Amino acid sequence: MQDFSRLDDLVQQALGIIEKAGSENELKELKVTYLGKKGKVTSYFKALGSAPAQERKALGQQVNRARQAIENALAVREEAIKLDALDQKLEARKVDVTLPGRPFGRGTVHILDQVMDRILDLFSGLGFDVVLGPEVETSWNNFDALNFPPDHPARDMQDTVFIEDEIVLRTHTSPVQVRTMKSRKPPLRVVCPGVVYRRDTPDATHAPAFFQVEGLMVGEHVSFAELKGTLNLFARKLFGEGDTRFRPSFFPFTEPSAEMDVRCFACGGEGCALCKQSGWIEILGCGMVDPAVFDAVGYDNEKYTGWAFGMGVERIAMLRHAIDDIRLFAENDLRFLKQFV
Amino acid sequence: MRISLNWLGDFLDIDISPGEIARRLTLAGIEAYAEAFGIMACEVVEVGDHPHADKLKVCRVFDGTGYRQVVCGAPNTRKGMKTALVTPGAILPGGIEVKTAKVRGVVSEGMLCSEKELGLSDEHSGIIEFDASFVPGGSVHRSLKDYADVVIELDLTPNRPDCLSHLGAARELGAILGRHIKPVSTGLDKVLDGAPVSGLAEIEVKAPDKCPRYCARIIEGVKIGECPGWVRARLEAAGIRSINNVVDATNYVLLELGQPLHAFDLDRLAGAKIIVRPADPGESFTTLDGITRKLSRDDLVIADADRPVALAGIMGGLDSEVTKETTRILLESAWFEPRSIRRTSKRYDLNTESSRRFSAGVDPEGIDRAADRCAALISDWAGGRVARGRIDVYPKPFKPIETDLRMDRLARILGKDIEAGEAAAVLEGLDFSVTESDTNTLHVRIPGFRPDVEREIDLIEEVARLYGYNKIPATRPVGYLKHPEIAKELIFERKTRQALVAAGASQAYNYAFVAPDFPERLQAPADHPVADLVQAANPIKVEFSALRTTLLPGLLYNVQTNVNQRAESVFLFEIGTVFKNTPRNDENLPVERRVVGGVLWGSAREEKWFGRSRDMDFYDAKGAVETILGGLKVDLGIVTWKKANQPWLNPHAAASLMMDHSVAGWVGEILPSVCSEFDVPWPVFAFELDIGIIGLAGKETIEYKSLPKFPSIRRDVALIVDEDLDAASIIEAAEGSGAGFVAHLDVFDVYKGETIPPGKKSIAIKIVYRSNEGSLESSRIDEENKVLVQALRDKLNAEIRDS
Ligand SMILES: [Zn+2]
Repeated sequence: MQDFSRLDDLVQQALGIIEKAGSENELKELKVTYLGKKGKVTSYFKALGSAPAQERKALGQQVNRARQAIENALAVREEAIKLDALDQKLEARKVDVTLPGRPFGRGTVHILDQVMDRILDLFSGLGFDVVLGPEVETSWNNFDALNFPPDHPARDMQDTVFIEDEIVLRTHTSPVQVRTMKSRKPPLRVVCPGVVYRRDTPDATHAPAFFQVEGLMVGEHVSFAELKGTLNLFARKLFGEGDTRFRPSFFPFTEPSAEMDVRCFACGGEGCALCKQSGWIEILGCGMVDPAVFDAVGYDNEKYTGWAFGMGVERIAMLRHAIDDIRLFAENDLRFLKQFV
Repeated sequence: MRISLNWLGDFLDIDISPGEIARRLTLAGIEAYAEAFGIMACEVVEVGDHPHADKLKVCRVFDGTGYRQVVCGAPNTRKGMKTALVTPGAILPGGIEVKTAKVRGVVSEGMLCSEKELGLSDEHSGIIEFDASFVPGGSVHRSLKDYADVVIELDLTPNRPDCLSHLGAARELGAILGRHIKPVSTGLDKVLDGAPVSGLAEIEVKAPDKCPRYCARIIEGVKIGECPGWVRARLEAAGIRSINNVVDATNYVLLELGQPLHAFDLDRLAGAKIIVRPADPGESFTTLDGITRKLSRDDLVIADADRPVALAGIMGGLDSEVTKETTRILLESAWFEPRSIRRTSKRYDLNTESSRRFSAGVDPEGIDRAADRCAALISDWAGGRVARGRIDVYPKPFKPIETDLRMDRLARILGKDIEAGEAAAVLEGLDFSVTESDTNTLHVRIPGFRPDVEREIDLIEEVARLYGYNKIPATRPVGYLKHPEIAKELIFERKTRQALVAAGASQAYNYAFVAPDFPERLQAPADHPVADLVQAANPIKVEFSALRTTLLPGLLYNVQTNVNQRAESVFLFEIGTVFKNTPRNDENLPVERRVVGGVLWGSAREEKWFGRSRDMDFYDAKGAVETILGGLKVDLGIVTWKKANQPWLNPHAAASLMMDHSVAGWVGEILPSVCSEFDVPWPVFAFELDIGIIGLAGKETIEYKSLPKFPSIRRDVALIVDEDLDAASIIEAAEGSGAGFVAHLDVFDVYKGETIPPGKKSIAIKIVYRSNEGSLESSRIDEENKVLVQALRDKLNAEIRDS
């Protein structure tokens, strides 16, 4: 016979034990202990039958409340235990956020290729084809066709490495333009990237081999004004919006010839060491294709006009990245290469 | 060319600053820089301590044209004072030349002077202090007024020999400023009092093609001595040291008018005769520099009755030089054919002020004027009487070029209309004469001093550069739309580069130059393709005298560079051209190929907090190659690997990459002996592939294969086989086993060790079975796998390991 007056004590005792339970298994056992078929609370349900009829309803409600309270406590505790377990699992995976991440070991594209790509992309974006040619050239393609007569002082402008009498290491990529004009008819828009060679001993500003990009546009109405307009577009994209200027110069294969300057980006034009106090920085040479070049490649020089330009990629890279020694490009010290990720 | 501003003033009134002169010349195509030169007043604007010497001061001074740094030890040096400056290149009254120098490690561009140093007095307690009336750049003393000057340095392009003189520079600047230059006066009429020239000497020109004009004046009774101080000051400003009054007069006219002259001692010319002729074969000659040269038939010499006395237009000889005893001068003023002078000058590597001008072209219309001018100066500075008349042998008279300039053509080239009148004014400002004109055409006579101008396009350039390039508008081309064609080689190279960089390699660039002994250093025999070198005829140095046939030497040097810098690993690649001398192509040019090469050394993974490093091995290098193949979309099914026998590779760790039975490249471990030859630690792994062959084998587009509809089942088989049996043979045997539903085969483990008998290895393969018709039953696969296993046993004599 159950003493219903002790039910509340039983509940209080149960709640205390449940509160301290440490695992889901323990909770399962407690559930059996109190609410199972032979459980302590269950026995009160069984005892209801023998309670006086007039009390039965009230006692029934009391036992139900007791069961409810224990079920709730079990559920609350179960949730708490699950959360604890998750916390522990997560904490076990604690990291030091300041340790470096695991690298995927990416290498670097050489800075000269990065600059070259940028230049080529800007011109191919304007519809210029990209064409290549050999590095060992005939002197005809390298000089004669480009209006450098034999025994002419202009040949001294580019100290040349000879292989044989009529075979040279190209001193510029202009012979690629010659080859292109000999094999294609105008209109023509091309850029020619590649290595060129000079008979120069390496020092901080000279290299025996370096990269050039040259460009050529030929058509029936191609003018110096358009040369200026196109190269302004290019220079402003590469060096940022700013003034440019064109100075007369001399190249055997162009006439009129010019050198193009951009406002010094180090001093903004005030004058500094980079621009030798002039406020301007030379970036490329250009000009209208000399009619003698058109004669050499068999273009009608009355019908067609054209313009061409050429620039040294090392020079552009040195200006853009403040590199002070051209030899660094060919030294291949990873401490240098890896700076340009 | 160094132009003295004082001298320029003889020809042109100038009212703009030296800096502005330089800027205006530069914008007209004559790159120019202005710098104070000589002895002048200056203002000390800053005084700082010398970092390494207590008694020295580092001063910033204003010289009237610009600022410069000068180190000075005088006790009275102070900020704000005006004192005397001597610039580098100028010569102190005592004969000492001031130079740009480092004084205890600090650059000093000149010197600040005491009165004694300038020869003004014996005062030497400090530098001179001037009162406020002295102007920076101005004269310091009446006696030194010619020494306060500014030099305009012209950085000339080879087409402008006319600017190699003060007259030419003045003409150019005059045209820019729109003002005429003063006429040249020879001053000869005042001193022409000698005997008639005829009979004093005889001149014969035997090579009229190389010497179309030879003109001479004779001056008798000269006394060799010093030239006036103002002349010395001007010569110094132009960069030439004074020698004696006669030689100085020839140099003065060279710098003033651009005409090289030569003064012979007439009494030392055998037979009082000048013969202009080609050198005799075998003839030799000692030039003024004391060097005796064996001459070529192509050289032009000036000879007397007996022997050469000058290498025409380049340098005189010791035997006929003007000496202290000289009294009778034969003064040569001639025009020599530029190419001939240039060839001789190059042949003997003999570059002089004279050869420089003749080989670029001097003014054929200024020969006689220069002779007259120089004769007058000699008479003025050295006394003597100028014989009346010139000896003038002129077998091929100069014919000026005349050309039409069409204004519509000019507009088409420039993209800007310019009025005929405006163009004519520009050309006339440059001393071109416009002989006829209408609204569209100018008929122009080109003066002799502009050998660079011959054609209409040359005139267009002249008009454009003086009109101003920056006044021509900037417009954009209008044309047909079209996609650019990018050279396919470049596309292959970009993909190769991208694949390798993603795999962790960094890109290198080496010069294509190599030392010709590198094939030997790679242990390649003389008949190996890498020994077929293209060689330079005139290399810079022996290390740069051949062109590489492989990228390997450069990359090995790069390993060395990085190992020396304490790198823990090196994984570099290069994309570049390699050259082979034979056979030549139809243009007689060597064959060029674009290749990608790579080197791997050190740890495959850097040692980090999360794990140990691992050393690179052959399979890292082969993996790099496979990465490239993947990047170029090459189907690995068309590629085979064979053991390679490159002389520089370990024969047991070397492979050739075969595509369609041709070798597309190699990969392997470099021999220890080759590593030590290139001073790099062993082992180094390397590869080289022909990008052209591989790129062309790549797929342009990839066709989609439908995804498997049914699940696959995997079985693993471990075999014990002979150690030398390669993986490819096992896979091949498995593929040809006759078992059905085999979708994929792969080696996933290779093991040699204790549990495996000697001479054997364990190799495990994974077989993936799949049907396109439906799901496969496990029992069905077991049957197929039995067939496969049996085939391996039979074909490979393999023992099957139970797992
Ligand atoms: Zn600047």
